Amino acid sequence: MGNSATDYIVHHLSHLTYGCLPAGFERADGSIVSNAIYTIAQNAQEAKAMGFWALQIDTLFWSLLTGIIFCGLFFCVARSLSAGVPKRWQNAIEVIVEFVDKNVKDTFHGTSCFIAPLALTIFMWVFLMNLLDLVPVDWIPGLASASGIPYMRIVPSTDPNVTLGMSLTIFILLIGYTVYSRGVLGFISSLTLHPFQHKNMLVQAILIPINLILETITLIAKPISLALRLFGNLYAGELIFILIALIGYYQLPLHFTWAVFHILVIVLQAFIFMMLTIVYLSMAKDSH
Amino acid sequence: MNLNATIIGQSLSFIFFIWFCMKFIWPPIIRGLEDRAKKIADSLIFSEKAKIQLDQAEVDAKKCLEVAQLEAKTILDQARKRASGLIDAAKIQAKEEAVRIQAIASKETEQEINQAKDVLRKRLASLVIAGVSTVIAEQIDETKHSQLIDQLAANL
Repeated sequence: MGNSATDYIVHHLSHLTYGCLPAGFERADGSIVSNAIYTIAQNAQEAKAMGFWALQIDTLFWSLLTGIIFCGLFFCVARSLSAGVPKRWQNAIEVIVEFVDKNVKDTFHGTSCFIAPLALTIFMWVFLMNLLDLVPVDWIPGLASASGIPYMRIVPSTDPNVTLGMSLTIFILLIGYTVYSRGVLGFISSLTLHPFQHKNMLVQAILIPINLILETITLIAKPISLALRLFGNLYAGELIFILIALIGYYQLPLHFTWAVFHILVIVLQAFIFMMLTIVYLSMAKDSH
Repeated sequence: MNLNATIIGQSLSFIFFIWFCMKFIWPPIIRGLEDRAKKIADSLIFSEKAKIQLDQAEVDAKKCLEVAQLEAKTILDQARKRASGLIDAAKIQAKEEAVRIQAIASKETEQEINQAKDVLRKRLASLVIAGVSTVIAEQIDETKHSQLIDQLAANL
């Protein structure tokens, strides 16, 4: 851990990055890399130098872990599900499933075998990832430092890689689903014939590029806003936890208060991510 | 905060989890919920039916009870009538019997009286004969006179 507040914050906001350092790079301890090596970055400069083909191990580990917890928990319940009186876990999970199912049915008109499971996956996974934000900020990084791991950020949803990874997947699904439900021509027309329409072909021809620009921006804004909303909320929340942690023993009541508020954020952001995905997909299906 | 290959890893795991959820989590849970909903609906319909049946059964039972009460009443009335009839018949019979017995008894007494009278008559006759014969022993034709005495005795 760093000696000053800046070091402390920087440490808590750095990822455990694994990637290739190019030859001739000066490492944190002053040594020069003679040949390109795959290693774990020791500071922010090293992580930056690794470029795009680097992996943030902590992010991936915790996101996979939460995903596996979600799948395992739901899978166990799904296997032992009985139509009789539900057991305790079964009850809780049924409540979540019914909640998601109801939201999907309210928003998405029509049948689809993948929208609802997609919504459930998003809701539960994002929720569990966000939930890690409530673990006191020093515990796991402290444990990691004690066992020789330089950095450990445990909240995957404070990493734009995670939120962008998810939203880009949704973006691809969105385009695929538009093409699937309306055809390629339908997709192209949805990009070019809205929002401005004119009966005169010549005027319409002039309007098409304008429409294309507007609709493309709308389309691209969807995944970007989806990713940045989740990232921004959780990043801010985590940052405030770190700042509160800086003030010493007086942090406890503040920490508690912020954690209570943050519980709302955690659930709300998971819900928003899920709802917007459903809305985007239902917009892709219905013709304007 | 670098954008790097983590995006790809996250996307792949996201797709995997969606697939897993679609394949192994969502369908069985939804099926279970639908089964339960159906079961509950069936039970509700069943209980509704049972309630109607119960009401019907109560009505039936009431009817049965009323019929039975009526029957019991008629039987009781009949029994009472019959009992009083029997008693009356018995009374009449007893009176008749009494009258009959009385008649028999009086007849018997009459007979006995007659017998006693006969015996007495005969005795008296023989006594008279004996007395008269002793008084007028020689002059009397026994058979002729005893016939006369018998006639007299029969007229007593």
